[in-house]
Amino acid sequence: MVTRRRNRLTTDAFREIRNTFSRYVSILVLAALAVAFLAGLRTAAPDMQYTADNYYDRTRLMDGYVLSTLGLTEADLAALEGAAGVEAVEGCRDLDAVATDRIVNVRSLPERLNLLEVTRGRLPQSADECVTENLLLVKLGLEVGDRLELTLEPDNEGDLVNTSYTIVGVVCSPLYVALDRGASSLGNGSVDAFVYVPGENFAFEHYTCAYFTGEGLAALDTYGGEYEDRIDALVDSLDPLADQRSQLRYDSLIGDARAELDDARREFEEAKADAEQELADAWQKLQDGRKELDDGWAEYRDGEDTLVRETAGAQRELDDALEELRDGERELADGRAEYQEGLAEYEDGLAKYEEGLAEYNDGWAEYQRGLSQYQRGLMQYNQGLADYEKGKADYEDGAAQCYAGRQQYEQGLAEYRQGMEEYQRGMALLEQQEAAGAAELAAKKAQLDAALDNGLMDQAAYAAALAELQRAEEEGQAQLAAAKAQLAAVKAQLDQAPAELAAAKAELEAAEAQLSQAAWELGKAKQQLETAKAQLDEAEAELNDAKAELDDAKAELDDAKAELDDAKTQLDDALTELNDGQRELQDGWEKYNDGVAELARARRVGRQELDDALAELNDGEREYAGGLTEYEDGKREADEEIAGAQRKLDDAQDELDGVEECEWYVLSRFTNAGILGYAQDSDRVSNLANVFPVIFFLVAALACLTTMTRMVEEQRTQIGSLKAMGFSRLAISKKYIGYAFSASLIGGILGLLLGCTLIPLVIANAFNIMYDIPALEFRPQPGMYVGAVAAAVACTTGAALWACLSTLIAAPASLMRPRAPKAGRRVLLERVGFIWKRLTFTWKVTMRNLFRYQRRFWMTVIGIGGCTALIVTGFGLHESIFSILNEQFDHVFLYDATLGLDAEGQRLAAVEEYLDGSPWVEDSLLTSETLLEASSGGPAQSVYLFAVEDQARFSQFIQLGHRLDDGPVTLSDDGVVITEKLSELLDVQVGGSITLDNDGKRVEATVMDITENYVSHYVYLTWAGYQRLFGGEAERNVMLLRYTEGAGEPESDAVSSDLMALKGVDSYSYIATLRDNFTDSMEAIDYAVVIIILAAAALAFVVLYNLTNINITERTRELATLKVLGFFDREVTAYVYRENLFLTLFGIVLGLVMGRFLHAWMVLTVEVELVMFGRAAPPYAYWLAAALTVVFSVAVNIAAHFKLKKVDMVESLKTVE
Amino acid sequence: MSYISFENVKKEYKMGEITIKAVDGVDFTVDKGEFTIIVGPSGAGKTTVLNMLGGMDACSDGVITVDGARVSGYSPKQLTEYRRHDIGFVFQFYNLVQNLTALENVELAAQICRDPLDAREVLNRVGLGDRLDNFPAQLSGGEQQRVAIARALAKNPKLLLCDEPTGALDYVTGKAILKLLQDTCRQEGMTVIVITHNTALTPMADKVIHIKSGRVAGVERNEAPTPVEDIEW
Repeated sequence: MVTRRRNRLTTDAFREIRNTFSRYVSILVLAALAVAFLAGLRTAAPDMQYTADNYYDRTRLMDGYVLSTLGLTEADLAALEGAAGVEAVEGCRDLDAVATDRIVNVRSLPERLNLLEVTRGRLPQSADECVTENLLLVKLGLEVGDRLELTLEPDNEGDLVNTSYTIVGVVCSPLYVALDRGASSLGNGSVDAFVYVPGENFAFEHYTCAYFTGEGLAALDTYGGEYEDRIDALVDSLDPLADQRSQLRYDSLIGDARAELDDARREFEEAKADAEQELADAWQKLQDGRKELDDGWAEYRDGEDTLVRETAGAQRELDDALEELRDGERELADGRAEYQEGLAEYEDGLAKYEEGLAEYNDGWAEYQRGLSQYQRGLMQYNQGLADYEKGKADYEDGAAQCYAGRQQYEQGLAEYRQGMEEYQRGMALLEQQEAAGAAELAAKKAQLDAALDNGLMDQAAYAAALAELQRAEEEGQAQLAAAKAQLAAVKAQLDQAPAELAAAKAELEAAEAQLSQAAWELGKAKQQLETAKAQLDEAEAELNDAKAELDDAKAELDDAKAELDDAKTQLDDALTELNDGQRELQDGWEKYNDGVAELARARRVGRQELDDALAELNDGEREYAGGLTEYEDGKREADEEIAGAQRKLDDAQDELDGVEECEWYVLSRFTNAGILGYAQDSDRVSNLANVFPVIFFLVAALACLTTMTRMVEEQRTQIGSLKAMGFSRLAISKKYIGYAFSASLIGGILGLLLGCTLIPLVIANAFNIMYDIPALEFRPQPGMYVGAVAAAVACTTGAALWACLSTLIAAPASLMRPRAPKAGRRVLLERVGFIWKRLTFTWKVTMRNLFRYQRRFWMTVIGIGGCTALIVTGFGLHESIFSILNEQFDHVFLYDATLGLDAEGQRLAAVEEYLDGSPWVEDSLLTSETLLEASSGGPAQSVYLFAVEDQARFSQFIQLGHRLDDGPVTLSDDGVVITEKLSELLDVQVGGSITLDNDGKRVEATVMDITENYVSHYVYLTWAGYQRLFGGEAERNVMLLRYTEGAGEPESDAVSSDLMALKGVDSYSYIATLRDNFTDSMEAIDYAVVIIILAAAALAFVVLYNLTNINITERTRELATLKVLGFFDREVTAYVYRENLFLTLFGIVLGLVMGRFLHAWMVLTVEVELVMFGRAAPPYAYWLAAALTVVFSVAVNIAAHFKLKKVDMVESLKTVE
Repeated sequence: MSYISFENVKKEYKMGEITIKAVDGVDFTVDKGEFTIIVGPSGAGKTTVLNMLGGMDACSDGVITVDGARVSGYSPKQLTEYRRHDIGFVFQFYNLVQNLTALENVELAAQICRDPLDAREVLNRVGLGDRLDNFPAQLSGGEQQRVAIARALAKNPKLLLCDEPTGALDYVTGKAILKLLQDTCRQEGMTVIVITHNTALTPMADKVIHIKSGRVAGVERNEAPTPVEDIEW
C-alpha cells in the first residue's frame, strides 16, 4: 500500500510564514511600496497621453491647419484636399463677439473634424441654436435653454445672420483642452469662451481657417515620435501649395482693388475743386453784409449814450428828494416809537398803581378780618375766665362736703365695732347659763336616780320627779332659745352694717377722686386762659402794626396816581405833534412821485426810439448769422465729404498697402497651446518618474535583502540539521526562496494594482485643474507591469537565494555548531588614544559594535540616508519649482504688462498720451522684441530677442544679472547676452557663438555673458549691436509697462480695454496672468512631488523600523545578559539607542549630502526645455528632511523601547543557536 | 536565621487554559559561606528555582529571604537593584559580550555596582592575568567561563549563582572551573550555589538539595566535602 507522504518541509515553510507573519508582511509591504511607486509613476504619463490620444482620435482632431492673411476660399480648400498626404479638410469661419461682458469666439459648427463632445443637451439643429462650454454658462449665469445675445463690433457688423441664439447644449472641443481660449482684438485682448453656431450664420464668404488631417496619422500616438516626424513632414510638404495658393488669392484681390481706387481718387479731386469755388463766393457776400451791420451798430450806440446822459441829471434830483423823504420818515418813525414807548411806560405805571391799590384793599380787608377775630377772641377769653371762677367755687363746696362725709363714716364704723363686742359678750353669757342649766338638771337627775336606787323613791315618784325635771328643763330651754333669738336678731342687724359702711366709703372715695380731677382741670383751664391772654395781646400789637403799614401804603398810592395823570397829559401832546409830521410827509411823497413819473415818461420815449433801432439791427444780424451758418454748414459738409472720401481712399490705400503679401501659414496641431502644453506637462511627470522610483526601489530592496539575509542566518542550525539529514540544497533553500518569492510576488502584485491605478488617477486629477481631457483611461503596459514586479521579486528572492547558498556551502557539522560569534575587534578609533580614552565605557562598546557589524551599519546608514535624500529632494523640488516664479516675476521681470504695437507717429503718440495720463501706469518703455530661432549645431530653440537702446532704463523693466554671484551683466555692441537655460540647451559658454535665424536671415553672434532667467529663452543685445548683426534698424514694436504699487487685475483689465481700443495696439499681456498660468501648470508637477515626499516618509519609517527590529532580535541574548547583570531597562535601551542614534545621525548626514546631489540631478531631469528650475534646494528642505528622519527615528525607538522591555532574561540561559 | 531561605515557594505559568506548576512548594535554607549544589533531572524545576533566587523571575507564592531581605515581594525595579548589587551570575554559555575584551567584560559588570572589586585583580585571581586584552573569541571555553566568573565576582555579590557552569566544558576544564568555585567559596567565604543535573558532583558540596518534579526530594549535608580533585565522573 502506498500512502501519500506529506512533505514536512512544506509544513515547516507554511508554519514559518505563520510564526513570523510580521516579517512576512513587512517584506510584502516593502515590495508593494516599491512596485506601486515605480509602476505608478512610470505608467502615469503614458496613461495620460493615451487618454488624450484616444480623445483626439475619437473627435477626429485636426493634424494641422492653414491660416491665411486674406482668408481661404472654397477653391483653396479643394486644392488642399487634393494635396498628397491630406486625408480630410474642413473649413471653419469664426469671429469674436461680445456676450454681455465676455469676449466669445463664435465658430462654425464642425461636421467632419474637431468634433464636439456633448456633455449636456444636444447639438444645434436650427440656425438660431448654439452650443457653448460650461465656463461661459457659469460666468454669465445662464443655463441650457436660455438665450445668448451676441454683440458685434462695428467692423464686423452684419457678419452674423443671427445675433441671438438658444443655448441647446454644453460641449467639449479637442481644440480647447487647456484653459487658454486664445487672443482677441476685443476687450482686454483675450477670449473668454467659445460658442459654436451652425455655419450658415456667417455672412461672409471666405473661411478663416482650414483644418486638415493627414493620411494614416490617426492610428499613431499623438505624443509619440513617429507621429511628430510624419506631421512635420506633411506640414513641410504643403509649403509649395501654400505659396501658390496665397499668390493667387493676392492677385485676384489686389488687382481689382487698385484700379478701383485710382478711379475713385480722380473723381474725388474734381468734386473737391468745384466745392471749394462755391464756398469762396458765398464767403464774399457774407463779408459785405457784415460791414453794413457794423455801421448800424455804431449809430445805435451814440443814441444810447445821449439818452443815458440826459436822464441821469433828473434822476439825481429825484434821488436827493427821495433821500430827504426817507430821513423825515425815519424821524417820524423814531418819534412814534418814542411815543409808543412812553405810552407803554404809562400803562405799565397805571397797571402797577392798580395792582398796588388792589393790594392795599386786600390788606385793609385782612386787617378788618384780623380785628374782628381779635375781638371775638377777647370775648371768648372773658367768658372762659368767668367759667373758671365758677368752677373754682363749686370745687371748694365739694371739698367741704366730702370732709363731712368722711367724718360720718368713721363714726358709723366705731358704732358697728361696739355693737359687735356687745353681741359677743351676750352670746358668752347665754352659753354659761345653758351649761349651768344642764349641770343642775344632770345633778337633779342623778339625785333622782340615786333616790330611786336607794329606794328612797318609788317608781312613780321618780317618774313624777323626772317629769318635773323634764318640764323645768324644757322651760329653761325655751328661755334660752328666746334669748338666743334676740341675740340673733341683733347679730343680723350688725351684719348689715359693714356693707353699708363699705358703700359709704366707696361713695366717699369717688367724690374725692372727682374733686382731685376737678382741681387738675381747673389748673389746666387757668393755664389755657393765660396763654389765650398772651396770644390776644400779641394779635393786638400785630393789628396795630398792620394798620400803620396800610396807612403808609395809601399815601404812596395817592402820590403815584398824581404822577400818572401828569404823564398822560404829556403823551397826548406828543401824539398830536406826530400826526402833524405825518401829514407833512405825505405831501412830500406826492410831489416826489410826480417827479418820478415824469422822468419815466421821458425815458420811455427815448428808449422806444432806441429799441426800434436795435430791433432793426438784430434782424440784420440774424440774417447775417443765418448766412454764416449756412456757409459753415456747407463748408463742413463739403469738408466732411471730402475728408470721408479722403479717408476711404486712404483706408483703401492702407488696406492695399497693408496687404503686402497674402501669406498662408500651415501649422501642425502642436501649435495649439493646450495640446502642446499637455504633452509638455505630462513629459515632466514622466521625467520625474525616471529616477525617483528607482532610488526608492533600491532602498526598499535593500531592506528586503537585509531581512531575508537575517532570516537565513537565524536558521543556520536548522539548515545544518536538515543538511545532515540528507536533504538536498535545493530542498532546503526552497523554503527561504519560497518565503521571499511569495511575499514579494503578492506584495508586488498588490502594489501594482494600487500604484497603477491610484497614482495616475491622482496626477491626472491634478491635471484636470488645467486641462479639459476626459476621464483617465489606462493604457495597458504589460512590459512595465511585469518588469516592476519582476524587479521586486528578483531583488528579494535573489537576496534569499544568495543568503541560502552562502550558508549551504558550509559543512553540516559546522552549521550545527553554534556559529563562532563574530570576533570582537579593535576599531581604528582605539588607535587615536586621546579620543578613545576620553570615551565613556559604554560609548566604547557602541563604537566597537557599530564597526563590528559593518554590513548592518552600512545597510542602516544607506537606508536612512536614502530616505532622507528622497525627502530632501522632494521638498527641494517643490521649492525649485515654485521659487522660480518669484525669481522670474519679481526679480528678473520688473514690468507688469507688455503691449504689442504696430504704431508710429500719431498712433504711437496717442498710446503714449494715454499711458502718461493713466494713474496706474508708473512707467513705460518702448523697445524692440523679435521672435527668432537660436541654435548652435543642435536643434534650434525659439528665443525672444530684445534690442536695448538704453541699458540703464531697460534695467528698470528687465533686470540682467548673474544667478550665482548677483553680479551685473553689461551689454556691449560686440555680441549678445543669452539666458542661462538657453546656454545649457545650446551648450555654449561665454565666448562661444550662436546662430540666430530671423525668418531665414541667419547671423552669427558671440555670447558675451549669461544672465539669470527661468521662464522662456531670451537674447539681449544693444541697439547698435542689432544694427551691426542684422544690418538694419530694429523695429520698436513692444512697450513694457510698469504699474504703480497696488494696481491689480481690475486695473490691468481697465488699462487693457482702453489700450486695445486704440489703433495700432495689437496685443496686451498681463504678467500676473502669465504667472498664474505657470503656477497652475507647476501645481500638477507638485502633486507628483507630494506623492514622492509621502512615499519617502513611509519608506523611511518602514526601513527604520525593520532595521531596528533586526538589531534587537539579533542581539536578544546580549541584551538579556545585560538585564541579568542588573542593567535597568533604560540603561539597556540607552545601550541600543546609542547605536541607533549614531546610525541615524550618520544616515542623515549621508542623506543630506546624497540629497544635495540627487536634487541637483532631479531638477535637471524634470526640467522642460522652456523652463529652468531653481538649482539649489533651500535650507529648509534639509532641515525638514533631517527633522522628519529624527522624528521617525524617535518613533521607532520608542516602539523599540517596549520591545526591549519585553526581552526575557531567560533568553540568556538558552543555548546558543 | 539562615542566610537564604525558601519557604513553600511556588511558581506557576499560565499558558492559555493550562496552568503549569514549575515549582510546587519548595522549602530549603542555605547558610552564609556554604557551597550548595542543587541537583535534579531536566525539567525538575532547578532553573526556575535559580531564576527566582537570582531575581530574574518572581515567585507566585511563598517567601524567599536573602540576608534578611524578603526578595519575594520585590517590584521589578527592586529586583533589578537586587541583581545589580547582590547577585553574581555564571551562565552555562558564559554570555560574554563578544565585543569587549576580557578586562572590559569584567569592567562592564563592575561599572554598575556600588562597591566593585578591581577588575584586573579579579582576573588575576581566576588565573587570567595575562589574557586581559583578549576578546572572548580569542579565549578557550574554560577561559571564557573564568572571565564570566570574574565578571560575577567583580561585582562583590552576596551570592554567586552558577547555572550548569561546566555544561559546555570538557571534563578537565570543568573540573578546573569547579575547583575555582570551591576555592572562591572556601577562601573568600562566598556563598556559592551551583545548579547541575550531574549527581556525581554532589560530594564536593557542603549541602546538596535534590529537586524532583518541582519539590525538594531531600537535603543532605556533607560534613566533610570531598575536594574537587578527588571526584571522578
